[in-house]
Amino acid sequence: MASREIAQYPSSTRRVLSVATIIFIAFYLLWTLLPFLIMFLSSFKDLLDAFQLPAPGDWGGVSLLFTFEPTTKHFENLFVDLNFGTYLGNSLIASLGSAAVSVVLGSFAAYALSRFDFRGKNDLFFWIISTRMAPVVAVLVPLYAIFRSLDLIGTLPGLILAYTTFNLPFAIWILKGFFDNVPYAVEEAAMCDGATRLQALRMILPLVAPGIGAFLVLCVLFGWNDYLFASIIGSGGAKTLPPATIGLVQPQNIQWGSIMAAGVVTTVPMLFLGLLIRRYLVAGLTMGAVRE
Amino acid sequence: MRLRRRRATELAAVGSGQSRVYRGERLAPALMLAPSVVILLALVIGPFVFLIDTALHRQNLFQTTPPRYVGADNFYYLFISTKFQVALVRMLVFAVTALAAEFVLGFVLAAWVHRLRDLPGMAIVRTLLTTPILVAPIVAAVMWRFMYQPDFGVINYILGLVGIPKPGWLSDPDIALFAIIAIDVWQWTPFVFLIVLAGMYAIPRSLYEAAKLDGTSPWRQITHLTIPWFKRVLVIVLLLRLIDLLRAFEVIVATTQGGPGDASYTLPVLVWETAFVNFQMGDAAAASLVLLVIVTIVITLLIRAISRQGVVGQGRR
Amino acid sequence: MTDAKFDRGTVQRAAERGHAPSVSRRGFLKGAAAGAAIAAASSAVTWRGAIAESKKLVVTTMPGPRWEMALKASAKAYMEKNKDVSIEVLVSPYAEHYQRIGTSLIEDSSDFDAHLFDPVLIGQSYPKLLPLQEHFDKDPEWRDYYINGVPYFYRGSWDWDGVPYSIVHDANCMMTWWRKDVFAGAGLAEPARFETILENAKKLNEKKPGAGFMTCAARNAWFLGMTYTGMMWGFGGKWYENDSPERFGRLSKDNPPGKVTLDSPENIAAMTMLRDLSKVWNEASLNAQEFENAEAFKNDVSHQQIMWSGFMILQNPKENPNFHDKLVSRDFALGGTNNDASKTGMKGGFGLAIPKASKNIDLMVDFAKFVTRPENAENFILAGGQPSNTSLLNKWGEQPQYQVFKSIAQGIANGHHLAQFAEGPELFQLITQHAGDVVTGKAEPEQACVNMKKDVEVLLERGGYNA
Repeated sequence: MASREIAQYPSSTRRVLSVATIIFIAFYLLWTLLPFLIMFLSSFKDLLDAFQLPAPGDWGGVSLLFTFEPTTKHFENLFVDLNFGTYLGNSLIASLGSAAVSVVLGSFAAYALSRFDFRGKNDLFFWIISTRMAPVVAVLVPLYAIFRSLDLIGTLPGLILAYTTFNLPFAIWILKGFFDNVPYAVEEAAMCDGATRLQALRMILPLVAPGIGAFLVLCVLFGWNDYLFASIIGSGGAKTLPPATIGLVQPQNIQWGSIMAAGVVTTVPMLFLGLLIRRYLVAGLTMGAVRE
Repeated sequence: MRLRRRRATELAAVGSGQSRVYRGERLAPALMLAPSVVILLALVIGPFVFLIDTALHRQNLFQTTPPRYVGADNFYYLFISTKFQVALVRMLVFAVTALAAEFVLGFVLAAWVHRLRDLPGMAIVRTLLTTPILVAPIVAAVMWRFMYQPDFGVINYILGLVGIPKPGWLSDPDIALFAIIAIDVWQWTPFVFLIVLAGMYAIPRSLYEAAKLDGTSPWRQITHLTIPWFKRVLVIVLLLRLIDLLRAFEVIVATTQGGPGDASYTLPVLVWETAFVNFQMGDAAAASLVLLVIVTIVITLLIRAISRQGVVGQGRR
Repeated sequence: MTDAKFDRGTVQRAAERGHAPSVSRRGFLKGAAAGAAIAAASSAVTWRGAIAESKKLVVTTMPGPRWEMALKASAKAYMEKNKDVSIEVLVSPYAEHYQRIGTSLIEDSSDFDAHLFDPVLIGQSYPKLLPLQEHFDKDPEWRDYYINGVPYFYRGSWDWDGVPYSIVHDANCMMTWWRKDVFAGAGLAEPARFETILENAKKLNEKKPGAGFMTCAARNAWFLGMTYTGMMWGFGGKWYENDSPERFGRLSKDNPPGKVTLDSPENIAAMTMLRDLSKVWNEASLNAQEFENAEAFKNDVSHQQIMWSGFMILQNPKENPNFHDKLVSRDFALGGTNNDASKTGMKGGFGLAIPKASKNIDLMVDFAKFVTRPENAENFILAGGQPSNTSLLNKWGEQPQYQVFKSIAQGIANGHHLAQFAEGPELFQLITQHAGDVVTGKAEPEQACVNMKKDVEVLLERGGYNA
């Protein structure tokens, strides 16, 4: 018990409270991590093993969850028979592509919103951010029709464009915050020396680069995890991991092992990326409204 | 977009991020904004116009004859249908219950993690607690569905260990909606937790020390110190969560598709079912518009909250 | 989504457009999309160019042994015989599959040489599909094998105005399944009537809770609506007056449904039976899809089920090592006052329909015929397929692990059809919804039937069928 608090106030109620606190957090941690554990274990289990549960009340039987012959056959099934290599590639291209497009286009727009003043600026800004929050399912029907008339259904460019509808407003919003934090004096000095606006923009880009990197990752995360656009716009030629995963839940033959393996394939890269940018998560997920 | 020149004094007075128009770049902001605005206009306003047009027609996705103009009929039949009324209620129950649970849990968790912040390993605990946010909602739903299975699921196994009767989590109409809420709570409580925790770190430590010296209870610390200090952010987080909950869809479709019966049948599910199971595009468009209006109201509130209060951790701009 | 000022303008403009009949749907759509075109067209790479060359067939299907696997096995065998042909089988799940078919047929579907789909969409899509009579007549030997082997009450679903638009690929119907060892041990009767099923379920539950009965329910993919329709038919009920097997569930102004009879005594009796079953069935039923029921059978949890014939995968020793040889089936049960065995159950299967715009019509017809031929039966069946031809069904049904084929042969001749009109899916959804109210305890059977009738009347009125 190294808590300073306890050291300062060594009353027994406080100690009990602290223990209760730790127990609560431990339980919460368990409930947070249990689904991951089950998913990882099941992805390496034979289907009959996965359903091998001890009789109720048999505490010793818990070990049954962990005793099994590990098999990689579900992963082999995914990548050899079920084309998951392609879906993984599609996921990568679509999420990276959309992140790149969003950050590039978003930089210009954010810079303009940050550095210039014009009538209706605030309205425009808030309109942009509100597009991020539209219920996708509500606009799926028309989006589908529009993408179809452009021959973009089932194509990666179509999917990149679709992801851009939610990543671009996000990028503009966040990047504007970055630019706002960079003193204008830097560019002003440069422009007084005759630099053009674009050159000035290029000068301050390194100052916001680390932030841009983190938000690029967040854009990738949003695209990677998307299901709705992927299932409708990407349907057919540009299937990504989430619809491919749910596609394994078939009316006739559910392949829990493969589904769990697909879950692992979808989740693990994002866990690593999430660790990388954990400092930016709060700001990213609140659209920059909260900063650490 | 006409540029407005600001007075030089104003420019000098305020430090950063202020505008000044240099010669020959009146069009610069317009050019810089154009690509983004065009994309968003085409992909957001375009569908919206299309949606309204579709909502006024009776149209099946596979229909080969021209759609029939029916005026507001689609809305009329939507409003009188029991499934719409059920869907509205379910959507509200889903959103409010999940919101409440996520806030209570998020707060308690943040307060206690903050209390134990000096314990070794808390940084790791914090990181581990946030992992669910990173999972694709569809994967979260599928892995919970696996655990929820009444006869083979690990959850009922654990309940069996302590001798609690095993419910059919997703097949009992009284429980299903809450079982789905639990998935959402699992995934998004960490979001509330992270933000509240960030806020707690932002509050000067001296205030807590003072409160502690006064013998203030932890609960009062939250109600009297954290919440008032943190009100602005909380409103924003609340609305952000509410928007997400109102449009929650993947987690329901991947678990029950609205069932059993109509136990988890929310408005987004109704929209999806009407459009992509029944293929009635006109009806789906009408329901979409209703959903849009509801979410737009919340978004407007959110935007008001943000624009009034500015960005936390920075001055108002 | 947008700021309010903007909305009002667009609402008005859209409303004006809505009134103007001169604006064609596609024209309008293109207009709305023009903005996006500017941004996106430059980067659009379509995958069209790569496919639909000669000697290459592209066939779309849904996943699952009876469609995807059977088709792939047939394609493999066909390609081995015809070295210069390559066949691509595009597999996508339900919603995706139907979107692809629907949207490609709105154009002309020239990207695909065949769609494997159920006949629900024939009414909307037949103008874009190839009439096959002429191609049948070119090969009288195959035609007679096909016409005599696939019962008219099944095959006719894929016809329109007497013209075939699809070659029936597989046979599928609902039936009763049970564990014969458990039934023999407990001295239970063969479940030929719903009253027996109910009684058996109660007895089985006494030995082991949840073992008595299971079905597909909840909301998923209208399973409950299908089950109820099969039961309604088995109890002697009808959807509406003109709901007869010869009409294959088709409606139009000239072919009106007549009075809706969903609240008839037979319908209420079926609904009451469903309610009674729901009180004793395995709780998982309420959110079970077929696969979950399969797990329940494989793991010795439940012993009696109503299920589609696709459940036969459990007779495969690899899928179901412990009980594969103990699982048996018979055709769907009767109930109430109905004693006419030719009226029970629910049928539905897939057919290969060729778009008129296909660039390889002759080759595709040849492949489709090959799929159904006796010489392909082994490939087709071993991969998990359920042939549509009763001569094959009855022959293979002699083997214990294919005993289900005999039930299928019976079921496809007797079962109630799907609803083949634009509102068909919605009809099933409404039935699912009201049957759902009954099994979740929200409504009593009588009330649910009355509500269901009202909703279906509105549906038919909106569709303009009962003018």
